[in-house]
Amino acid sequence: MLRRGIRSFSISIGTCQKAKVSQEVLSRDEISKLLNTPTWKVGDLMKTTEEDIQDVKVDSSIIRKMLKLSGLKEDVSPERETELIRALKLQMGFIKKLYGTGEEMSVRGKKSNDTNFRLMAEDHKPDTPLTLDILLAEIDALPNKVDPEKGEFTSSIDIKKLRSSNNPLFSSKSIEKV
Amino acid sequence: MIIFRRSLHYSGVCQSSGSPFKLYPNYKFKCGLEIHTQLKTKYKLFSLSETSFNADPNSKISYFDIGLPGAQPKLNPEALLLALKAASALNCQISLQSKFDRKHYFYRDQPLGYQVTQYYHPLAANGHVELNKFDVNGDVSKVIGIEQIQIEQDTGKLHYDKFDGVIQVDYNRSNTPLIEVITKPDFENLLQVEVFLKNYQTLMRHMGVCSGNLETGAIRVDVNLSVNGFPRVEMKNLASHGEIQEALKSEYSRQVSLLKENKGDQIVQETRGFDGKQTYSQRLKENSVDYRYMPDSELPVINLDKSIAEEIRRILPRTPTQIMAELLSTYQLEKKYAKYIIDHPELLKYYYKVCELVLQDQGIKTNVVNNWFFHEFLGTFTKLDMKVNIVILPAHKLSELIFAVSSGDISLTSARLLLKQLILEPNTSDKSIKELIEFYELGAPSDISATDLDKAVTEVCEAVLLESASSTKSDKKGKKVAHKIKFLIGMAMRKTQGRIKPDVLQKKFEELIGKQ
Repeated sequence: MLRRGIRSFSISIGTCQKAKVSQEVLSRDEISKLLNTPTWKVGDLMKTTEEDIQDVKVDSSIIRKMLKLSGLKEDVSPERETELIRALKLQMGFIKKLYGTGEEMSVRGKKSNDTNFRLMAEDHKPDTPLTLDILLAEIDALPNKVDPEKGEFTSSIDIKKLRSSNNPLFSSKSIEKV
Repeated sequence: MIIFRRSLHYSGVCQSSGSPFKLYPNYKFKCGLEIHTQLKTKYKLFSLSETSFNADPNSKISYFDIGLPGAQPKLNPEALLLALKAASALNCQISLQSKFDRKHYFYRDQPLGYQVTQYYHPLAANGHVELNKFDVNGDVSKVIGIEQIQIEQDTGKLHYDKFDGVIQVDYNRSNTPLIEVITKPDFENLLQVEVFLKNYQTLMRHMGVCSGNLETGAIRVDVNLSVNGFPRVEMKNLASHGEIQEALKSEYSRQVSLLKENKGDQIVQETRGFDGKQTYSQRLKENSVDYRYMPDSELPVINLDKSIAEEIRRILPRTPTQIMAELLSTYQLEKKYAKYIIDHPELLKYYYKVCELVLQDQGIKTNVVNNWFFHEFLGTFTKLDMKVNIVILPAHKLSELIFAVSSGDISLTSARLLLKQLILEPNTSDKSIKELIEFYELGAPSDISATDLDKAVTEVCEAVLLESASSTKSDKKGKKVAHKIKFLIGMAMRKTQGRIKPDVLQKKFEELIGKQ
């Protein structure tokens, strides 16, 4: 299904096939520069026509609601809004192809919108059905599966090292002082 | 239009009035609940970092818990087992295949940008809970339907620090396993809501699924209310039974007032908050968040064998309702005592053990064990203002003490003294009760003749009479004398550390006072 979606949208995956390791990033400024200098974007890889997205309904009100829900600034210019409308149409068209029904997400109800797409073909194959014995054996084995490489130990992240003023809580937003 | 409606609703608040609350027959109360229940697992839902309560902030977080790129989820089987137990206890049909979905919303306590939940294919559905006379928390006859049970992750916790002017986030709770239990809108009054929720807490605690506390946030409740079929109004994050009851009263009164004034069109589907006195509009349907649900592509289907529902049923302990029926009939407990130990499963286990050890001995009746367990054992902790700790006195030792009193090896007074001593000084626990009676010289005198014992008792009683001569001379007859004799017996018991039975002392005092 994923392949069908990709084929239909003619994604050129060749351009991002080869991974390369860049030079070591040494300073905050270099990180900032790296993150603010995109070299490619997903949208550029999707070759689509107006026909592909003509049935996707996205207007100004939807864009502004999405911006609001995403916590982004809503006061965008008309030009930027047009760009965003087109980008969202493109994304929705792509997802529509992934689901493979030709139906728009927004008009699908709870019962119909449950296609369980997987990135890997073998994921479609269900696991061996779980019995209680298997489940209990899996629980018994859990302590051996704790993986420090996944940060699965106490104080795995030293908040103080990330930002000393945050320790021990992450600060997310300034609010009015009393 | 939206703004107009909103303004109406901000002004349309309803205060809980001072007059007693009542339901009106012509305004039908219809309520449903959504109950978020934290599962009592060692590890989190999709990672193996440990669950915690009150741990140092952000000390129990894996890379997945805070949504670091590349970290992937894997379902913790502990959470699945507890969710299956809850589903079975709530008489639900377990789905052999259930799936996870992503519910998207952006908020600082949700690091992934979505919550993993089960929207399209939940773990279980179509259950019911029967409320009846054996309920632990009330006597209500009603069946409440369970719409569905879904497994999902909890969020982080926010701290609004107004002093320093920041919102701080503790992600320890992030990815803690929850089940969301959604009832059918079957509640017709407030009592049914209260009894159901208290029973639910007891049931989850008893099945080992959840700690069962509303106060700590282990259980969090959203309520939906509709009056006479008008649009339902949701009230979220109610933190106690009292708050749930008051919010429902306030909202019912608000809706009834509008209906009485023919303003039913002002009742719209919305989410309302409760500030302790009144409900207020938070979000109208038109402004509701579009969660953009989609199947989670990183988590496989939960594929269960068809045998598992029956297997889970077999390992479940008896329900609190079944235990209550037994405690009231076979063990002749009063309902309040039965409820207390059902609410404390470790005490219930202890009680059953004591009963098993003591009641096998002929001649000791259930009410003797009940008296010892509730009044003497638990009562001593209360008198000492101590938290009950059953480890201090194992069940077999309390049983030995009950035997010792029953067989006359120690008087009740001495046994009370010994019990108090054992609770205060648990380091003597390596000795048996028999050894302890000898160690503290609390046993009934057994190595002296009856004549010598009588002589000793006479000496003690005469000494007590001398000490209290002024208070006993004036009243030789009537109730006052009887009262004074009890006082004298108490003094003599203290002098003999309870080793002489009260009836022996009473006889001696009556004899000595009669001679005066």
